[in-house]
Amino acid sequence: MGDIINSTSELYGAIEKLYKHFHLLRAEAEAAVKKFQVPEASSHLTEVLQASQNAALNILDAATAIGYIAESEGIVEPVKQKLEEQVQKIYEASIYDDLNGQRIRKVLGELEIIEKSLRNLFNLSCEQSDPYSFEISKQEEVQEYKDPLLNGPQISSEAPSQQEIDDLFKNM
Amino acid sequence: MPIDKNMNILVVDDSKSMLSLTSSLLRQMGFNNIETAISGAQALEKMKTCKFNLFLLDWNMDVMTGLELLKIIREKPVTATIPVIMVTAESKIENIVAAKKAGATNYIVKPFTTLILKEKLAAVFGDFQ
Repeated sequence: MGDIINSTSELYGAIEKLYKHFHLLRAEAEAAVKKFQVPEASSHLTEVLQASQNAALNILDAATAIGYIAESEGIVEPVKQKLEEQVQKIYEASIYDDLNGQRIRKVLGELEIIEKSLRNLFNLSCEQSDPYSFEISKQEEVQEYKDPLLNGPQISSEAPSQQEIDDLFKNM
Repeated sequence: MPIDKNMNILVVDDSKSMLSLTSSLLRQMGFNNIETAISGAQALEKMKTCKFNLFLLDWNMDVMTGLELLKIIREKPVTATIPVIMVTAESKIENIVAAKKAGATNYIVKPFTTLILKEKLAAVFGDFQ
């Protein structure tokens, strides 16, 4: 009988500890949700995407215009060649917009996951009257399917070269 | 045999700057008939009214990926043998394998240079002159 009382007492103590720990976690999650302005961060990144695209389009238009000027009469051949080389460099460098855009969208996706995780943790012991409670919709509970072939650009140091890809493609 | 600069080329990418860039590079190489599509759906629409001789496809696009579009292109008898070059940032081995299995003719990884684009076109169609 004494053993049962001791075990129960220990169990109660462990549960109480877990409960306090969980409340601490919940408080931290609440603070994080209030402080970590995910929607604002996402908006900023979305603006970066748009601004980058607009700039890239303007740069490409300007490069095309320079290309036409290079083709026009009165431009001597050595100058024409130099202009065309530089125009080509501008075109190739402009790929940054697409790749940066893909990386930023990836980060936006990760931010969304962090936000959902914080909300889920926050809501675990939510009371009905809790003013900070969020509704977890059925949609959020369902794990979104992620196409395993859609990963976007790899980290440069880990990405294969065009030659490596050519070799792989050729040998299949 | 020299490459036909009058062939119809369709560039498909959900990035406007990539569409502009790739079209400009192709024009610089001397190609005259370049169409662009911002999505798989738009590409399929354009294919209804134009017979293309080459497709350059991005992979990572919403709704219909480039791989899905490639499979559709290969399923249609009129486009089953038309060259398709994937132009994409996707560079994992699984992607290369999937593209090849789906019938891609070649694979260009972003970022790429004009020289690489030229080489891939020459590999498919013949030398530039």
